[in-house]
Parts: sequence; C-alpha cells; structure tokens
Amino acid sequence: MNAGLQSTAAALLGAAQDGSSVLEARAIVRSFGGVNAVDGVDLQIHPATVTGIIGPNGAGKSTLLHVLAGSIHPSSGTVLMRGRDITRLSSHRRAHSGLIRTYQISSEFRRLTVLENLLVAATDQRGEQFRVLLLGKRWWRRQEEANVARAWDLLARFGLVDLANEYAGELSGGQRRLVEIMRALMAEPKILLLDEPMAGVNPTMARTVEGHLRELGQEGIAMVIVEHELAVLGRLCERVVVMASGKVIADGPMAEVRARQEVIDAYVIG
Amino acid sequence: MSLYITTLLVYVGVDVMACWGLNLQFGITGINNFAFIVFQAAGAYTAAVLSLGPQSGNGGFQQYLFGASLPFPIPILMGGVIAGVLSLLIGLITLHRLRSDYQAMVMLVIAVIGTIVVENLGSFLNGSAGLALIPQPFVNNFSSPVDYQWAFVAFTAVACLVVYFFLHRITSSPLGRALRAVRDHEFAAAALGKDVARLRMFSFVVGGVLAGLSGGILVSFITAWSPGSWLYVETLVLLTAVIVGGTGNNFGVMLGALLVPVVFNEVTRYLPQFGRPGLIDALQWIMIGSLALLFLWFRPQGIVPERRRRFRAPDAAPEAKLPPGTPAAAEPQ
Repeated sequence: MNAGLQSTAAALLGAAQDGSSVLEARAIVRSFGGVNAVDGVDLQIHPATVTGIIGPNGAGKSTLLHVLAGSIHPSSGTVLMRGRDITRLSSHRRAHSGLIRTYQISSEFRRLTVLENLLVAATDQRGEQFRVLLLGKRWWRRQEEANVARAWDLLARFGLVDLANEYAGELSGGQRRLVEIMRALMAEPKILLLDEPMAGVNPTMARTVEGHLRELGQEGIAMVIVEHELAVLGRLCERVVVMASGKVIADGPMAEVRARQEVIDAYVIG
Repeated sequence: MSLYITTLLVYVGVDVMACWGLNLQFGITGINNFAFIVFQAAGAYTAAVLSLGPQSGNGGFQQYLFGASLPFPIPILMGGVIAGVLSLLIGLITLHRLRSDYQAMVMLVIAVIGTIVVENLGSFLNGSAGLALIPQPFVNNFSSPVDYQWAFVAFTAVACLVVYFFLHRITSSPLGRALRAVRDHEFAAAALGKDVARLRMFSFVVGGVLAGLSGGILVSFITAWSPGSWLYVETLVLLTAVIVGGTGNNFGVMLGALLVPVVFNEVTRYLPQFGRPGLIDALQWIMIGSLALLFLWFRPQGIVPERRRRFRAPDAAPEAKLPPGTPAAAEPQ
C-alpha cells in the first residue's frame, strides 16, 4: 500500500473511531418476497467524504440507497443521520434535513423548464404555503427573486445558461443528469446520494459530470455514489464499499478492494 | 331565444368552473379523478337541500335530510364546503395508498357507488326521482324573468372570474410549480423535500370545492337535480374538455369547456333524427370518447398547450465555470 492510500485509510479509520459519521446504517435488512435484497448492512458515511458503492447487478446497492434516502423503509435495522434515528422518517422530511438523492433513471420534471426544475428544489419556499399566497405576491416575491438568482448562478456554473428556458424533458440524457445534480445542489444538501450518475451519459458528458462531482466533493459535501464505472469511482472516491448478494464484502480505498479475492469472485462469478 | 341563450351561458360558466377544478387535479397535479362528477353532485345536493326548506314543504312530496332555507349565497358556498369535505374524506382513502391506474379505477368505482347509493336510499336525497322545485336565489328582486336570467348569467360570470384569479394565484406561484413537479415525478419531488401527500390533497380538495360550487350554481339555476344528472360518464365529458382545451392551461381549458360540453352537445341537438330512438345520444358519447382519444394520440398538449414559464437571464450572467479539463457541458440534443 502506498503512502497516499495509507494516509487515506488512516483518516477514514480516525473518522470512524471518533464516531463523527453524518449518515449511518446499522444492520439494515430489506427483503422483497422473502429475498433479502439488503442483508444486514452496516455503513458509516463521514463528513466531507466521497464514498462509492459498487457491486455486480442485484447486489443491493440501489436498494440500500433507497433505504438511506427514505424512499423505502427497511425490514429491520436503523438509519441514523448525525446520530438521530431517521429510520421511519419519510423521504421529504429527510430532504429537509439535507439528505438529498438523485435517481438511476433520469427524474427531471419534464414539463417544467430547466430553471423551474431548479426552483422546485429551493428549500422552505414561502410561496408554497397557501395562506401566504392568499396574502399576495409581495409576501414571497423577494425570496423567489433570490432563488431565481441562485438558480441562474448554478446554471452558469454548470454551463447550461442557454438551456434555462428549455423544457427539461427535451434535453439529452447527459444534460438531464446535470439538471438533476444542479437541482440537488439547489436543495442545499449536506449529504448527496447519487444513484448511477453516469448511466446513459455519453463519455464526453460523463467527464463533465465527473468534474462537477469532484468539485462538490472538494467543497465538503458528503457524497455516496452508486456506480458501475469503477474507473470513475476510483478517481472520485476516497473509499469504496463493495456489495454482493445484499452484503458488504469489502470496504476501503479502490486500489485495495479491487485486489481482494472476494471482490474479484463477486464480479467474475456473480 | 333569450332563455335559451342565458341557459347556455350559465352552463358555459358552470362547465368552465368545473373544468378548471378538474384541471387543477388532473392537468396540474396529475391526479386521475374519475369521480369528479360526484363532488359536483355533492355541491348541487347541498345547495338544493339548504334552499328547499323543511321536508314538509311543497306538500312533502320529496324526502331529504337536513332541509333548510338559507339565504343566498350560503347554500352555494356550503355546496363548495361539503364537496371539499367529501374530497378530503375520499382523498384520505385514495390519495395516500393508490397511484395512477389503480387510483383511476377506484375513483370510477366511487362514482358508480355514489349514484347507486343515492338512487336506493330514497329518504336521503329523494332517490332516483331526485329533487325538484328548488327555489332560485335572488329571484324576488326581479320583476321580469328575462332580467333575472341575465342577472344569473352575470353572477355566474363573476363567480368564474373570482375562481380564475384564485386559480391564477395558485398556478403562477411556487405552490403551482410544486404541484406540477408532483405531476411530472412525484418521487423526485418528495426526494427534494416536497410533501407530496399534502400537495396532492390540497389540489384534490380545492378541485372538489370548485366542483361543488359549480354544482351549487347549476342547481340554483335549473331548480332540479337527480342521479341522472351526474352519471359517471359526465366526468368523461369534463375530462375530454380539459384534454381538448389543453391540460395545465386554464385559458385552454375554458376553450375546451366551451367546445366539448357546450358546442358539441348543442350541435348534435340539431342533427336530423335517424335510426332508432336514442341513437344520436349514443353516437354523441362515442364521439366524445373518440375526441379524447384523437387528442391524446395526435395532440396530447391540447389546443392551447400549457404555458412555458420563461425567465429573463440576469443582465450580467456570470461566465460558465467548468471544472478544469472538461469539455463544454451543453452537448447537442
């Protein structure tokens, strides 16, 4: 193991030991019709780290992400966010706490423009409250203007200003991915869960997406990325968790886990 | 002729209001409410029994509950309230657990059950005979029936204007945007912090209130209401109007309400009689169903599509800041 990997591993070990995880799964089991898609998974996500989850098809990666995001509830086990039990919390309440996810299949609001897609994600909008609406626009206009300005800034950062007023459903696959990431950022995430952000994206656009994700990681947003592109995860993630048959079979830096026999077996044998 | 025109105009107003309510549910929030007509009926029955007075009135030939003789506009407003409460109750059962096709099927069943219950519970709302001789509001203020008819048209128009501006306030706000997000992808909306159940319920109840108000206005004008007035297929007429006019666009929906329930119904009235009795009525239903299918197939956005909300770029938009070593983000479509 080289010096860089050693220092990363040491940092991870230190973070784990001081118990400073922002998100934690304890003994998560999720079964569908008697089959355990996730089978007793323990996982800790540390602040300002990028964690990759890899594994062959059917390993339970996306199901685990669903459980972490609150899209589905676990059959048993506990999910903690900064030490608080959020196991039974709905996904929208988790989002209010800063836990934001994206989807494996593009989930843009297709009949909303790109800018509107971003605006939907802004948090605590006064204009979404009926009683405020009845009082008049002056009660929410200023906040809306601030949100619009922030959305333009994000579009500029991602180079999509020209597409602001296009319907999201009319964008290419890669552009939709970027819209999803921008939308997630608009929600001011503390933890970002990304389900196959490179799926269906051409190689050129994938490099763009990767670049933006790297920037976000450097800005200190904790990220969990489920992805099949191992090279991408190798470049983005300090730590990779390998799953097979619903269980975690390896956990550590990419170079280390790739060399482990059980990981090779899981990928080769399935 | 004047009576014909005023009646037609009141029907236009009532249908427009109902279609706006359905548009809020279906066109803007994506709720498949095939029981919409039940909420219009709830409003109509409520306005009727709160205008008719005690059951013993008019010789006691009608049986109904909660008879009262309340002044205008309380019966109509109560029609909206009761329809809203009914929406809330049905929404609690159907909106939380059911989605898309399943929800549509349950709504359809509710519409069928509603008619059967009212038809067979004679003492509830006078069964299949329905309610008649419902007093017209503010009729005593007019000496001429024609003047009254036009006054009612004006009242209906004002009610529609109020509803239009009310709905515009919702649809042009962040709340309207959140509703459209729920329509397009409810799971993504939830993942971004939107309380999807609350938003869908809001839309369902407001749509139900508008249905009830439209029913209250209609029954106050035509003075009679029976289960035959609100068969489940009546929802399909309103739904076709929304689809033809343009889902999500209140102006388009108004056009649809004018074209489908009013013009379409009136034109077929003047067709020469042919075939067996009732054939033209049957063809009318076939035509309405075909119209909905044709639009869904060839022009799903309707005659006037949903308005695109454009935002003007800030004067000095910052330069695109791409991560180092990456090509331009905007790839050709």
